[in-house]
Amino acid sequence: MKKSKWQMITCALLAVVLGMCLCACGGGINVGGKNNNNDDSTLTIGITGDSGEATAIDTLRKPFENMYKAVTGKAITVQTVRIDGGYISGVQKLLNAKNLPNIIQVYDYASEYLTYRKVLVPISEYMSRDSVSESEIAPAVLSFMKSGGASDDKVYWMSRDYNRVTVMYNKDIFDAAGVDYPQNGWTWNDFTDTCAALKANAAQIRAVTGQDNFYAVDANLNFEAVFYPAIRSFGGDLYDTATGKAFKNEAGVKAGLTKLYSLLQNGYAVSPTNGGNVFATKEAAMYFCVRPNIVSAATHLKHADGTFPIDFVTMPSYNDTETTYVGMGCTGYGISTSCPESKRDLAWAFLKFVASKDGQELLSKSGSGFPMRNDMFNDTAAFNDFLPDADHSAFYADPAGSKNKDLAMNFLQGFKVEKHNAVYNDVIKSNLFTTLDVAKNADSFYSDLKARLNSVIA
Amino acid sequence: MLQPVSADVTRGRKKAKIIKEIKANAVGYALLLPLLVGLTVFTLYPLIVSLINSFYLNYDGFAPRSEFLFGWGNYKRAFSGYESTVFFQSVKITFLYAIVMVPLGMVLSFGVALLLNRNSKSIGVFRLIYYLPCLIPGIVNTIIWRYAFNSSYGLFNLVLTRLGFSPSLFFESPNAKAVVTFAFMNLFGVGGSMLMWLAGLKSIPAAYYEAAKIEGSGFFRMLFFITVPLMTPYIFYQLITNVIGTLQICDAVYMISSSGGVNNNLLFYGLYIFRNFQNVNYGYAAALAYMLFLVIAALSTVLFRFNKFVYYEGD
Repeated sequence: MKKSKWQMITCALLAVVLGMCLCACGGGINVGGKNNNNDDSTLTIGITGDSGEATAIDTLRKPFENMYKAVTGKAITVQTVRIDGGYISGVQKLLNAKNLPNIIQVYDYASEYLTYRKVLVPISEYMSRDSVSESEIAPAVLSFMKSGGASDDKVYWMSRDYNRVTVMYNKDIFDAAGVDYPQNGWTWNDFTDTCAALKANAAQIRAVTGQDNFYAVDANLNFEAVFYPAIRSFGGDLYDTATGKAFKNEAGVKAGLTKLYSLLQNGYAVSPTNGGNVFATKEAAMYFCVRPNIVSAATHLKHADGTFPIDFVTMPSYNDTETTYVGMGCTGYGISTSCPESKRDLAWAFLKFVASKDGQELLSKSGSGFPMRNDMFNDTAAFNDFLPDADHSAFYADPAGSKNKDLAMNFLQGFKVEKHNAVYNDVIKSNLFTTLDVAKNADSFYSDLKARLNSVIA
Repeated sequence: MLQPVSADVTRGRKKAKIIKEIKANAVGYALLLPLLVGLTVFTLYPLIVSLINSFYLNYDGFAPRSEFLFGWGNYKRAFSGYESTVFFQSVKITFLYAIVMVPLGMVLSFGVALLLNRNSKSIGVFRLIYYLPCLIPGIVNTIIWRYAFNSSYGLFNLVLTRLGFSPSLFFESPNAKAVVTFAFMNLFGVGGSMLMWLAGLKSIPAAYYEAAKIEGSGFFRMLFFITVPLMTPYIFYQLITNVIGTLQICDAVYMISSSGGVNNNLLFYGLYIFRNFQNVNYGYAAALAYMLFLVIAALSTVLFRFNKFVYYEGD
């Protein structure tokens, strides 16, 4: 049979197209550039798909490149690699494809797991070689940086910020109700008295805000940095590392959660399913929040004259506990185990820059976070000037004699770290307080929660 | 006298025949090659790899498989401990939803198609109106409904409160109300099926209806004795595809609640699988996916037995 030339040309074209498609398979999740993980003049940094993360890196990129060139005489380029979707699974895929960036972003909840899975290179030796002292770093942040899934006391990544839960409040609402502003170092009883006073004046408040609803506080009850410290403050914990079972001191767990639940019972707090926006829409006078939350809220509440009715106070201390834990978290960067040996000094130079005063000032002024260096806590010039009239001290300090103590959100603390995601996502992040609210804080909720925890850590 | 042919000669002749056939059809095979390579690389290979992963207990992809226990552990996990509670809940939600929505959706879309199967000037406008929701991207559509059903500021609660009723939690309900809300939302997407029914209705020769009218048949008689029997190929197709699609629902419910809702009240099976993939529980997620595959295969086999009731023109 005479072969058609057109058929052969079609076959050839199809083969070329297929070859091109297959060539695009595998490789890194590179956005806007070729894979430069092994290129000595390029430092690749893997970050989550959040646009805020790209902003944070952009803040550091040029200054670091300029600093590095000035010090070493060598021109390098910092390239961002965005890891979209599930971050840990994205890191895992890149690791398996031997295409992990030189540096990867590490956020608090994932640090134990990533270290356990040998994704991060310990940086303790680099720190001692270059005299970067652990004492320069906020203690709670340092505990995260050492959360290696093992008790080897090594630092595995460098945090870039320090995020502490504080109370953000709307001064306009307090003025409308004729209630005094809260003060740093206030107690839980002071807080509930304030809630009661605000609730008593709800009608006046609604007349001013024009909203149908009013709540004294959006307590962000489903936020693990709110409810987990409450549990720990009353001596409980989600599980017991000694026995390997759920609930260390069940009474403490119940006491902590019940304390927060009382805010719902008394009608002070918005339902956990409806929180998040009510402060920005003037339906709540106070908000248990972290630093990244303030930009959106402040933008919504800005006055016509450009001023903001916002200020901050510390989390209230429980009157009936010895210590009141306050949730904190952080994010940062670590050297990946895939980083070639020849580039690890370059990668460390970036981490050192992040931890330096210059780097911390750049990051905090951009609004990306609060500095994590102890010596910058009182340096108001280091904060972003987004809310210059507010008192930001609640983000880094409690008054002398306060019972408040930072609690890092490393739930597993080395125990069963391979179960991290199941525990964290399936149990802790699954609208825990919503379920408690639906169950009306009954014993059945606790037995169910215990069973779930035992199931995922088994 | 004929001599027996040796086995080598026979094999040689067969080989030559095969080579000759390949050469004769070389162009055809070459044209098929891209599809075959794509199917192998993007479908067959992942199927095999995930089947293997499903036999490694708690495989998470970070470490080699040899570090994980080989066996039926992942499959047993679905039926043991607290995980079994979640598993059976997701199965219950998914199957109940399928049992209600598949027939309801088919009947509703068929009814709309019947109404729109007429020749009039403005009928095109109505067909467009019913099909319009299908033109909106599914994610956008779901987000709009999510806001409309929001328990605090959603449109539906606003209307309910204005009418003097108490507001509802809708998707945030800790019980079956959330699934009912989800089902209600999906009923507005009948436009896609409606188009297919319309195509089928248009293909029925008008002569059948004329003959039936002459003999004095009314609307329902014609519907059940002419329309439905002649539409059985479409009914069969819709049944199979809707059952498979409903059992695999994930994206729409993910947009409503990525965690599966309060008390896992919106944890459809597809979302349950996705959640485990997100948590890098690849082994367990693969096991769940294969269990669903087996159930769908079994259901499809059962449904195909009804093929004998389908009327194919030319039979």
